[in-house]
Amino acid sequence: MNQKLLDKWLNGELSASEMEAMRADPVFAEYLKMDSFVKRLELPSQDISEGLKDLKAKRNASSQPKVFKLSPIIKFAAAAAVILMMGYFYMASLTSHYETQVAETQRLQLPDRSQVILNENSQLQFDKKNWNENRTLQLTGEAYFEVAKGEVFDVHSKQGIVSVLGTKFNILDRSGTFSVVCYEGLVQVVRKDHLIKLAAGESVSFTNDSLLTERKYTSLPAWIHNETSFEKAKITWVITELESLYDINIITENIDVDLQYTGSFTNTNLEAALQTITLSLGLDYVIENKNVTIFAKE
Amino acid sequence: MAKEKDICNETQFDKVYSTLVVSLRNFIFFKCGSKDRAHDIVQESFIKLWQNCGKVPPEKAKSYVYTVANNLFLNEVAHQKVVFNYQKEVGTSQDHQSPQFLLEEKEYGEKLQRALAQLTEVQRTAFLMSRVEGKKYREIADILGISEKAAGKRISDALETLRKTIEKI
Repeated sequence: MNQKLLDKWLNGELSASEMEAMRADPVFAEYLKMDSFVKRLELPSQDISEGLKDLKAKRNASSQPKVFKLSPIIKFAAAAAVILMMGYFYMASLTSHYETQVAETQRLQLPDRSQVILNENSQLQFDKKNWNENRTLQLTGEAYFEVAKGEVFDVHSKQGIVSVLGTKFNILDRSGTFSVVCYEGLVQVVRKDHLIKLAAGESVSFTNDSLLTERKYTSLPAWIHNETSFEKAKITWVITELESLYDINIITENIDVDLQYTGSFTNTNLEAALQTITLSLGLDYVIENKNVTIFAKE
Repeated sequence: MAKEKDICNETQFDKVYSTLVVSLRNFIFFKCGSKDRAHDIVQESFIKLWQNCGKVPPEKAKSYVYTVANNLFLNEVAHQKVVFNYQKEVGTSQDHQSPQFLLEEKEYGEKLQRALAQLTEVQRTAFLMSRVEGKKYREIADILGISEKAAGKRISDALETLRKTIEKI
């Protein structure tokens, strides 16, 4: 067996005439047979995107926060990724604490010049003094973030952790619902075995374990304009929001619990809000001081 | 400093992953014959790459993940049985194949599988990288960290050993 020709064959450089000459050799013929069989071997999945998704889920489940904390000086380009993780994280020393009451919103600035607007009945805490070593915030409720370009920090809420890299987004964390809306940039959401990428104008919400992704055609969340908006929301959720916004107690009578509401109402006038909701759903209401009864129209 | 090209940049990391993953998965698979083990080892290797993204320049990423993957492979239980399988499809382009012919093919395939498992790991890996992935000597030598001549020798030796083994089975 001519080693040089064999090398040529193995490197795919054999000419047709050389191949014909080689074939005459019974040993080489045997090699050709082995070659054709071995090419039928079952290889592992040649997939790339599934593997990448799976990798990021595993990666975030292990020690992601540690990596970010170790390199706070790294800056990223504007089109960034946001990663949501399940887990609860306890923060060491809290020096800045912001809290909004019912029907109150507050605007504040983080040490890295990022802007935050805190929605009503929410709390935000972070370590102002040691911001460079400890860029984590704790959020309960709802807030809208406009992150200064290239800045990095983590927002921890009860249902997930959002790692931020220069973008505009809204996080909603209330009992039973967890949602993220991306207004600018690119967002990646990981929760259990879901991995969703959100571009500007897209949102994802998790109600218990079911998932809903939608397009949002607004540039800011509605509550910033003192409005609350819903899309196919359960009536029970709408009522909870109403109660919270206006500090009232709502009693329902004869209402189908599977009713869904799509629309917005104002946060500044209870009557107007009630009218908007009840009119579109064919309901009626009665107000008695701090108690409101909503019932189905006969 | 070219921080944009840094592997800690998610886009860069994705690119590195996409470029290297299939080859690396095949590489480990050729060594151990198990798709699941290969998959797990490779994912683990890329996680380690991410965790050390600040310390690994992009041009070193390939040798980094290959080294990590190889180490993970070596750390595992050494004597797991190596078994390869063929693709489920049996039908080839020819219509008229006698049952006799098909049976002979099947038997040959099984002999080859067993012979493959009996090769040394270094011979088998180089051989499969060449014959299955179609990699040339230069690339195989680069990945294995040996000379082109040495790579060629491993593959030729593998061919010879396989042929002799099949004859004997």
